[in-house]
Amino acid sequence: MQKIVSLDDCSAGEAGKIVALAAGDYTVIRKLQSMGLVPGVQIRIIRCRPGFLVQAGHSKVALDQCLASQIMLERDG
Amino acid sequence: MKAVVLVGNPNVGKSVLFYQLTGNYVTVSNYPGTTVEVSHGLASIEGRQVRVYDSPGIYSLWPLTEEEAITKRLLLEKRPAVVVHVVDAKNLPRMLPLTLELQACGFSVILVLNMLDEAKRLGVQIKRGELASRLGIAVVEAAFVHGWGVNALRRQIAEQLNSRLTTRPLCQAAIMPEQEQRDFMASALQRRQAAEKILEGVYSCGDLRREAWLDRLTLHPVLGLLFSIVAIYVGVYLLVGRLGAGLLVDLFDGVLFAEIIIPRLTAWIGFLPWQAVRELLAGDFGILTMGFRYAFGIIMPMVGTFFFAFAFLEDSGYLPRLAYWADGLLKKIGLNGRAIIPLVLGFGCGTMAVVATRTLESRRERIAATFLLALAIPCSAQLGLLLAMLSGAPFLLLVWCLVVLIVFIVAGSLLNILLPGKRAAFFMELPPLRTPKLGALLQKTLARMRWYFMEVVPVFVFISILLWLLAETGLLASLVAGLVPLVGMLGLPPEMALVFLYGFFRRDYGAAGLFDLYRSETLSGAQMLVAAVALTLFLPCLAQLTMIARERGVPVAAAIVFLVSMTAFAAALLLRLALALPVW
Ligand SMILES: Nc1nc2c(ncn2[C@@H]2O[C@H](COP(=O)(O)OP(=O)(O)OP(=O)(O)O)[C@@H](O)[C@H]2O)c(=O)[nH]1
Ligand SMILES: [Mg+2]
Repeated sequence: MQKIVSLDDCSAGEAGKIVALAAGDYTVIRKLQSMGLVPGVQIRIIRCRPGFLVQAGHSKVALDQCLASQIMLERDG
Repeated sequence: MKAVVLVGNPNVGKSVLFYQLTGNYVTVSNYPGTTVEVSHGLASIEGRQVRVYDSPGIYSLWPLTEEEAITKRLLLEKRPAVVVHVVDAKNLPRMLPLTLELQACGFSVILVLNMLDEAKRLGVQIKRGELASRLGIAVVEAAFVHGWGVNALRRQIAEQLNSRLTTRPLCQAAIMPEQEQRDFMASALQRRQAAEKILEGVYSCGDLRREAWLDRLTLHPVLGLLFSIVAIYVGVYLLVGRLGAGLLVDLFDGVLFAEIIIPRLTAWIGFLPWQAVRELLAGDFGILTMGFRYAFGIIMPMVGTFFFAFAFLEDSGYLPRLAYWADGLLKKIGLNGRAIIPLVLGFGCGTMAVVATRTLESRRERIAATFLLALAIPCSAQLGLLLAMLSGAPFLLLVWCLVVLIVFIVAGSLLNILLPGKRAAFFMELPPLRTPKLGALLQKTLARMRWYFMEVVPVFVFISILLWLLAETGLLASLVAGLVPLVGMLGLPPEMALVFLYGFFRRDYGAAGLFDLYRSETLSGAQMLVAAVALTLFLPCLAQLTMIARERGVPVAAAIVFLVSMTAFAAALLLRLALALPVW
């Protein structure tokens, strides 16, 4: 199984560490940053439908497909 | 006077603290983006008067939305002697970079670790002393909803005010908009790494997997939907429709006003020698018989119960979850999940909701949301009255819902095509579900009712006077005569012309007028339906219109007025044709 994938290729229940943000767009990066979704952070995917719902630390964040696809994740295990 | 500014991420408890310090109530709710305007108040800190400012939540000093820009401007303009940075203790790693950013700009910062009650429950541990010495600033532990930490914070503010450090020069350049994006990103990265380092050995995150069963329920697709249906049924239908608009209106209007107050007043006023004055006070459009009766007999019980149900919804933290579920649907009409909050607030009061559109990112979204609020979202007073009228005929109620929903979707899709620009990507933090506190609910309900009536009663009195004047001069007759053909085209009797005229001043007033007609059984079922649809879609009330002009500018407001009235008329006309209702 591929180790580094974009978040929107993951399924619910998976966990991993953010390794990079793919976006070239600063607004997108800032949005992710403000939610605490930055490289080095450990996250867990709670739901993939209808949108992405991830937990980072003690916060839950909802993201749409467009933002989720910008997050590169190194899967656990 | 020295200024103290409360800043921090959204939904961390700044507004709760503001109330504790100043005694001025501002709305507190469990979702990010409650506060969208600056409030200020006086606080006495160890015998010294200071001005405290509550600000909209920010993620960084580089604003993404309008309300964030407001906070930044506040910090620049007020040159606060002390900046109190409130954070949610359990999420300290995410929020600490903002502290560093504030420090880098030269503010004297006090860091407040709020919501310590929740953090403790999750097993989060923070070494306060160590953190304070690493940051070189005061750190206060708190749980403001329980009143903990307020006094400690007061002492720290006083100390800060007395120390000479407060006169440090402000590094303007650090928060100026001209800064390069790239530089900002680089410094953001540095701050994050610095924050990580500071927290090493100071913060331990405790149990990350703990999740309340209710949380799991509301995030489950099927159970979550069932849950919302039950919540809507209990909150809107039972509480507002049955209790507020049914029982309480009967009690207030039917008994209190109709049987006790009005007969007495008319008897007293009967002694007055001037016919015109008698009319003004207790005639058909009398200030007392119509203005006050509509306001207190009909509107108050409904708005009161609605605001209460609403406060519960807001404080529970359910709205951001709704935003998550609705994102896909709202994207189809050019908005995103974030817009659910202003749209749902619109069911409470459209005027408040227009201000809340500030939390939307782009001008295009703000205009679309404002338009839809003006067109297809009935406010609490309207909704309550319509529920009361139509609940006897569930079928009509269903058709009304469907028609309004269709208009909402069609209008939204058209706007999506017509308005230039792109929609913004959706992201939102979901706060934990919290059990609403009865005290907080009542406080919010009362605050909103007070605000509502301050706004409403003068307008109602004004409308009464205006209508009386128009009636006395005979102008009313010609105005109504002008409207009658239009109303007739919708298959409605001439009496409705007057109701639409009321509706022009205030939606709820129009609805109250319709309610009166309904009770005198002037309208058939189909007519009721057409009238209800027309009034729901019809112009926003005067207060909302003023707010639209203020927030979106006069040209946009004018365009909205024109388009909304056209759409309302067209929809009502189509509905009449569909119902095969004859022209009156
Ligand atoms: N458990 C707990 N809840 C708190 C505490 N302080 C605030 N809250 C809750 O957190 C929610 C947000 O509080 P607000 O004061 O509205 O937050 P704010 O920072 O003003 O939020 P915005 O206006 O959106 O920026 C409310 O539901 C409060 O009841 C606390 O110390 N403990
Ligand atoms: Mg607030």
